[in-house]
Amino acid sequence: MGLRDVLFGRKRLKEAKRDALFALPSAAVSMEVELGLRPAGVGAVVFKPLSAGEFVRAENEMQELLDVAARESSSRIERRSDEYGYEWLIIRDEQFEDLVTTVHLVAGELAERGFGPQLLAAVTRFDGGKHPVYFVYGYKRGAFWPFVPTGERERDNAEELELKAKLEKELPIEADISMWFALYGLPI
Amino acid sequence: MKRRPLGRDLGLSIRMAVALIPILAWYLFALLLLVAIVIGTLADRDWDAFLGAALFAVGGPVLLWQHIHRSESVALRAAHARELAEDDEPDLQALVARVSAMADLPPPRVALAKSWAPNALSVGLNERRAVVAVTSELLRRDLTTAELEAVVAHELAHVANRDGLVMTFVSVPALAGSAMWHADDGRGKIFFLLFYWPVFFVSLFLMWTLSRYREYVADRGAALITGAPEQLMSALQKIAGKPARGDLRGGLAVQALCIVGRQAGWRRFELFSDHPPLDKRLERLAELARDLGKAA
Repeated sequence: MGLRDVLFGRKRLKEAKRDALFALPSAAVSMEVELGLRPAGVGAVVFKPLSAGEFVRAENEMQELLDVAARESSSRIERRSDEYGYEWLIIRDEQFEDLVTTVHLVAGELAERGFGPQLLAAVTRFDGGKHPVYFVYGYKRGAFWPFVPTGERERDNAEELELKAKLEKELPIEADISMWFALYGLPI
Repeated sequence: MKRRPLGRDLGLSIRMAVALIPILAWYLFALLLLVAIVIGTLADRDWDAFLGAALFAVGGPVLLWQHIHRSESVALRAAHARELAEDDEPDLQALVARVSAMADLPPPRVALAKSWAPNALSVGLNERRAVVAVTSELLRRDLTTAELEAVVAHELAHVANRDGLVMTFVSVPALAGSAMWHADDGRGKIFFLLFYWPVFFVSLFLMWTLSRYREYVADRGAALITGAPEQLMSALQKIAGKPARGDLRGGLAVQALCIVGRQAGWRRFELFSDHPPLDKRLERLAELARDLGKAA
């Protein structure tokens, strides 16, 4: 946030930071060993589509590319949109490492076409606790945070903070807790 | 591939800078005046006057700071805004949280204002203190989710651009004039009539001008955040197209940044208004819609 942004207003959204995502596979190992949380074999890339025509074209191209990617890696990919107008590219793969790679590939394809700022988050699901545990990777922040929904609009903050305490050595966890936004009603 | 910065508007940036220059000059002049008085009283060994000037030099900014802090809550109260509890209006709060995530801002507090006028406003000097309020009438109007999102995004763009801070800074010269006029001491009124009134009117116009520019910029910000300028266009048409019954805005126009301004009386003339006319805003947004997603 520079002086120029204050004087003249922001002219771009923040560019996505995509690379820290790769801290996830190794953290997943200790999650399983120490916390009993297993990857559920599903993850998603969440992005905000643009209404402009060129974006629609890029999206169509991406669909083709996703099909190719799906054939090459054993991942299955489907698309879903949510009530807030965000698109979810849902990726299923039993191999956690492949899952993360495909998530990264998909986000990379969007960024390649210049739509990196439209990327909101990548989400992966873990089972084995009382409630499903989600790790949200915020592309704006370049960091993770845990999200444990327990109801339609409730989350288990205590559990999330415990996860942060246990994993922050291995995973870049967003330090500012007010930025741990929720994704209630998520489709994975 | 790089995308072109959305709605890069060099003309607007230049005009904003030009409008800011006299305001900065006012601050510089006030500072110099104060320094001159302090030095003058020191040289004359007029200790009473020196003490007065020194007190003003310290007390003035403190008073201003207090005024700023108070006016945030005063503006909310004037709008009859009630801050929402965590489980109140969950859909609205979830929507605001989503929009702020896209804007990379911490989710602001959300308030609901009782009003007959469909409007939305934000107050707060920085993103941590920000409160975004929507009026009950806005929620009653049948805005779609995407349109409501665009309205919220406009307010969050004000927050991201620190418009509360910028407009407070810009309003100080006019504020000083009104403080002189309303001072208990008759000398303030005389000083105002003899010297200050041209400064007062110029700074008032500059304030309105900058406020209009910031509205264009917030519209652009909303288009960036939502990726859909046309949603803001239709929302603006729904809420600003018809004259509102009653008005949200009192004398605290600067602190509360509304999405649509009052367009009645002499504020119908663009020069006197703190919001640009609807058709000009729609025109700019249409330009953005054409630019959106194009390569650099």
